[in-house]
Amino acid sequence: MSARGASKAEIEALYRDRYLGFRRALAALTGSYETAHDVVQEAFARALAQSHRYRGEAPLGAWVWAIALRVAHDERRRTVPVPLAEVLETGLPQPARDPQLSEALRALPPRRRLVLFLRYFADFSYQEIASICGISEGTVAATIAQARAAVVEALGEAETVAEEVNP
Amino acid sequence: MRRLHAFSRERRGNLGELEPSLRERLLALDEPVARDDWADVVARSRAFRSPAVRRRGFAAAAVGAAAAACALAVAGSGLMSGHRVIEAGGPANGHARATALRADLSDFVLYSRVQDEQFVKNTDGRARGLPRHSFEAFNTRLPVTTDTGGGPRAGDEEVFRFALYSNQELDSKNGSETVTCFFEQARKAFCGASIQMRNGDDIAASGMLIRKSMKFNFAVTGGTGRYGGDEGALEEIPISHHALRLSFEFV
Repeated sequence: MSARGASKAEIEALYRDRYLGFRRALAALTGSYETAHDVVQEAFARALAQSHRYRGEAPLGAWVWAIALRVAHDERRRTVPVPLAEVLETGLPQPARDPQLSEALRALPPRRRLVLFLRYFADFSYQEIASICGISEGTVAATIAQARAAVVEALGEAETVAEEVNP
Repeated sequence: MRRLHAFSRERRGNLGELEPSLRERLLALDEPVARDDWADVVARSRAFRSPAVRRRGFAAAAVGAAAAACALAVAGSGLMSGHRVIEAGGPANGHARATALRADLSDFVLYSRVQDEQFVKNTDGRARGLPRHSFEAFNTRLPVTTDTGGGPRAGDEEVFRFALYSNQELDSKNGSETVTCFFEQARKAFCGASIQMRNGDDIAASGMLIRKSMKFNFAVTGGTGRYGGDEGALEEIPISHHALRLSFEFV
């Protein structure tokens, strides 16, 4: 299949529209807003330099996100030698700002947690998440519903415990 | 200090699906400002030519890579520590690459900060005890030129050294620039600029400096690496007392 290509204007519009979401979600992956900012910039710079290679098979946001994940992964592997099994788990970059929420998110299975971050931190659509993770949109919806229910339940339990300790 | 301002169009529509209390907690984690720095991305895209990345062909396999990264995330544990990332890319290595890459060169912007400036006043060489100075020897029949406050004048020289940055905040270094100017009229000089990007590629330019406004108007005449054979225009305009904005336009 020949490349469809993405225009500079399309990529710029995506950057302006989604920068904060990308940075927020990548901070959850990298643990640092500063690193996330660099990863976002590098990902969009690569996307711009290689825009002719975009085939249009996935949403443009998903394509750039894939590049961003690769940048984050490569950087992690370049700077800190770690086994492949220990890369890119999501978590709040500043867990101390909401320890209960951080704990509730960390208690999720990794796949549910990642999908939740893609949905509510990066603001991806179901279609984009499905493209990114290689699953159906139905699975995305079900995963998000399960993750949300688990988080809400965990937060409810945490608040109950807090009330019992400090009535 | 970084210039901060909010993006005007942030999309957070998905948060509307959430329970109000959870939504509020997520919103409370947001940082309220961000930099509108698309120009940095454009500049970075020019600097980005990592041979390793090209070998991997990451973009062509983007969706597949995403799926792989998703799978890796499932198996992972532990957060990445904060650190700076991104090298601008490796040096170019040959004409073939430069030719291949020239097709996707695009305009970009850099910023510079003056590091050094050296001014050489030649017009009164004989007054300074240098009667055999080459410029003066050429003009032996002319009266000795004296600077009465209207200089620099014809024959004077000025050399600048700049540090280059990808962003206006001047905190992301991206190379260096040396400009050598030879004044051919009062306060107007013909200059040659040599720009070395962080990845080792060079851009050569030459043109006029209007000293009064410190505005450079250059023609890009070539370079090395992926800039080999490129032509275009370079305009350097002061944006502060010590910094300039470099706008490259290629033809």
